[in-house]
Amino acid sequence: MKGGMKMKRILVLVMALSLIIGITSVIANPSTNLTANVCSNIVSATVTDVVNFGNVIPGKTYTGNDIVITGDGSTAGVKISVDSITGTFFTNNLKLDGVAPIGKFWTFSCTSLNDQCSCVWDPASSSTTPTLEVPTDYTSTGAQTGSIVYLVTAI
Amino acid sequence: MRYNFLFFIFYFLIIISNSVLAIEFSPGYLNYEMEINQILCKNITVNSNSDFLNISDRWSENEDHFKESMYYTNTSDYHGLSLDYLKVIKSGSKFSVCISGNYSGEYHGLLIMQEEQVGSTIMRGGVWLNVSINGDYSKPKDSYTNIKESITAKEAVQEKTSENKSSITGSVIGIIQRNIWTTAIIFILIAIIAYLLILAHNRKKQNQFEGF
Repeated sequence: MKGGMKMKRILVLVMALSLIIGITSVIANPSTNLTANVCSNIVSATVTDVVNFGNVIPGKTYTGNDIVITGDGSTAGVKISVDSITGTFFTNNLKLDGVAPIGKFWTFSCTSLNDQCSCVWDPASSSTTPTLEVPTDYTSTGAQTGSIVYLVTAI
Repeated sequence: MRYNFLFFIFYFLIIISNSVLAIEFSPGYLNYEMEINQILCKNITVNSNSDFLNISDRWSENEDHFKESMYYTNTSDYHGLSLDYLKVIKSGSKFSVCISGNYSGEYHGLLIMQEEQVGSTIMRGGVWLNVSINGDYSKPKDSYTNIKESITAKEAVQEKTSENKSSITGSVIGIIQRNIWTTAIIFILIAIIAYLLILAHNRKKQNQFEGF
């Protein structure tokens, strides 16, 4: 009986000791708690579409709807440039803000928001006005199609 | 008043009918630091309005026009570089871009992901490729047919490391959790051992008692 009591005491002592050791090892853990949230390097852009000049007459200049460009969704600075123009009619006669479109670009610098993987943009958005200058000596008639090819890259 | 309201709805419908094209990809840069004829693969993720995207690449002649896309007009062959990637990918997918080079040097390229045309617009996403190949100039040793099979373990580790960069938080928290679990397991084991010792002792005592 005496031995049983003794063993119970030993058991309680062992359990108490192990509990103390366990708690101490967690509290006195020498490792520093380092945390960081690495945001993905996302490059993103939006461009509004539909540039329809309707019926055009040689010798006149036509203005289309403004094209709105943004860097929405990116977590870094973005550059959006006009990479090429397709359709011979537009390659030769389309202008953006009055200048030849190829090589024209818009940049959006990003100021990161603390604790968020997002940006405050400068500028928030840009717009450009397409114009079509139809040469006086242009002789072809009928529908002409083409496209503006944008290239989106990280700054 | 009613006509004004209808006009407003009509005007609003016209405005929203102008579609907005978008492209999103990650990362914006890929850096390849490698040896001659080593093959290194890295991943790109792309999301787009377009269901499929066509992939291509083009390279600058030298460093004079670094990151000026207009001057990126050469092919990879021009620099003795070999690239392996899917030529058409589905939007929302991750794909691998493997590069190897025959000659040492610094090369700057652009990987282009082109959407299908929507209305009068085509969107291209461009990932800057910065390739640095160490070593002496040499003739190509291997053909580029077994690219995927011959990726070295070192490259695989590098790729895995770059993929895991976004999970630093998780791994740090994991260390603390592991400590708690280890302590709990030690505690339970000690308790079990103590219980077994008591059982053995009691049994021994009972046997002694029965022996009397």
